[in-house]
Order: sequence, then structure tokens, then C-alpha cells
Amino acid sequence: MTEKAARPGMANFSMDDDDEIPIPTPEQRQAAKLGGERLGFKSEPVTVAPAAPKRAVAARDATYTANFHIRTTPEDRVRYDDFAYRHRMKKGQAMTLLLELAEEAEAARRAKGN
Amino acid sequence: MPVITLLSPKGGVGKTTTALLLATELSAQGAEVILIDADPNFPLSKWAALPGKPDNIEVIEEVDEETIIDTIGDARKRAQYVIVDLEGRASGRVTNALLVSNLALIPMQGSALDSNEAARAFKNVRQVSKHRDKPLKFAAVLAKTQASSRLWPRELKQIIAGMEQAGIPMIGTALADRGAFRALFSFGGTLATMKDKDVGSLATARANASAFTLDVLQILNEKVPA
Repeated sequence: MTEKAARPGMANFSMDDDDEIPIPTPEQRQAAKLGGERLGFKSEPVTVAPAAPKRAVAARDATYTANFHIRTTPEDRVRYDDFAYRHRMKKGQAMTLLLELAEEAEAARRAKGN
Repeated sequence: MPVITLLSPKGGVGKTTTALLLATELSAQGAEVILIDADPNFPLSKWAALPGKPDNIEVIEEVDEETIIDTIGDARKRAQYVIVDLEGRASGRVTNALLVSNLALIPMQGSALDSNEAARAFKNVRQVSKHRDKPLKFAAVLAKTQASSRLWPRELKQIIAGMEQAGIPMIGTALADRGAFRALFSFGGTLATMKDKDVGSLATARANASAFTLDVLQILNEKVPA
């Protein structure tokens, strides 16, 4: 049977010593946890995760820094883009390769002429 | 000092509003209150960041299942009342908070879905109570109801009758769905500091919150057999 006491005041409400709730033992916690889990009250990771530290990424040194506008035929433009794409190289890298091949051809022609 | 925990596996039933009304009513009477905001959305912390928070209310954020027992233990040493607002889901945090509470309040609205989820909460309260040295007091709270009980739907009345049959205690005063209660989260402060020009039916809202708080204290003061 529940025994009702007098209505307490709000601010001066004081509890009896026997109303203190002792800190549960690890065994009590475990038993309550298992019982709760059977009812669906399961442990879960805290959803407020701390922000992951940002990985420091070293700034890359830019190689192809010169801006170069060139007028060419639409066909050559397509060939150039296609070549760079097929070899998965940067446009600047393709330009370097083009010049190297052209200079090699030039040197070969010069040697042949001599 | 007493620890009152608000729980329900279902969200949106009025836990946070109930917690805030209790805290502000108690603080208005001069009590030191600690509100433990255990909802990862931290609605009470957001309220505390608005202007008008009474100095005798402290809001602590705590969402860790393992440390919530210590947090509640520390809070009860410092305040006259500790009110724990749990998130609206079934989690291990709920079970741990119940282990160190004096009173568990389960707000619910008048729908079958609410009452089913509340029933799950009551079962967890009862099983936790068995594993404590002292039994855990608990009660249902009717929240967000129509202001007049004459307008309550039949479904709600059936749920109330079902709880009475099952021997589930209920807080006598229902918390009605009131603009003044919702406005606390927009304007900040308390019902006592709110102005009539800000919300309608402020006097009725204050009376409702005050009567509810007295009913909660009444249950808190009842002795239960060990």
C-alpha cells in the first residue's frame, strides 16, 4: 500500500535518507542492461561524434603554370585532347612530349642532311 | 537530491517540454535545478542559449551511456533537483539513467502508437527496478492533450482506463498542448517571465504547469514499500 505524505513545498523539498539511490554495482548494471536489451533498449554508439581531425595535405607544387592560348583547327584540338586523355596525361605534359618529339625529328633530319 | 527522469522510446511526445516546465517551475520557487540534456539534439541547451535562463538552472549535456550514471551522481550533490531529459528512443542510456533515478516519468499522447511505446518504457522501468536496491517510482504523464478533458478523444480515455487497470500510476494534471509551452523554446526564459503580448492564455498555462509540478512532487514524496 502506498503511503501518501503531506504535499511538499517546491523549493524546500527534502528527501529522507532512505530515499537516496545508491550507485548501482557492476552486477546490477549488467543485469539491468541485459533486461533492457531484451526490451529493445540496446547500447548504441553515441551519435554525436567528434569531428574527425582533418588530414594535413601538403600543397602540391604546380608544374604547368604558364597560361597558353593557341588557335588551331577543330580536328587538331580534338586529336590533342584525345591524345592527352588516352595517355591520362596533363595537357602541359602532352605539350612537353609533342615538343620533345618534334625536336628529336628535327635533330634526326639535321643529322640526315649532314 | 531527487532525480526525475523523462523517458519514452518514441520521440515528440513531450519529454523535453515536460522537463523544462518542471525545471522552470521549481526554479521559480527558488530551487537549484540541474537539467541533464541527454538528447543528442540538445534541445535544452538550445533553450539555455536563449535569453532569460534563470541563474538557478544549470543545463548539462550528457549523451554517453557509460558516464551518465556519474554525471547524474555528481549533479545530485550540487542541486536540489536533477531532471534528466532522455532522447526519444530505446537505448542503453535510458536503462543506466533509470538505475539512479528517484522517479521516472513517461509522457504520452492519446494514440495507440504512443501507448504501445509507453508500455515498453514501463516494462523497462519495472525490470530496472528489480535490479536496484530500492524500487523505482514511476508515472505516466498525459502530454499535449486538449485543454479541456471533456474534449479528449475516446481513444485517449480508453488508454487511461487501460493504464488504471494495469495499475500504472498517472500524474493527475495533464499538460495541455499550449502555445505558451512551445514558445519557451522560441523566446527562451520561463512562463513567469513571458509576457501576455507574446502568447495567449498565459495565466492558464502557468496554472497548468504549476499544478502539474505539485502533482509530480506529490508522487515523489510518496513512500513505496521496498
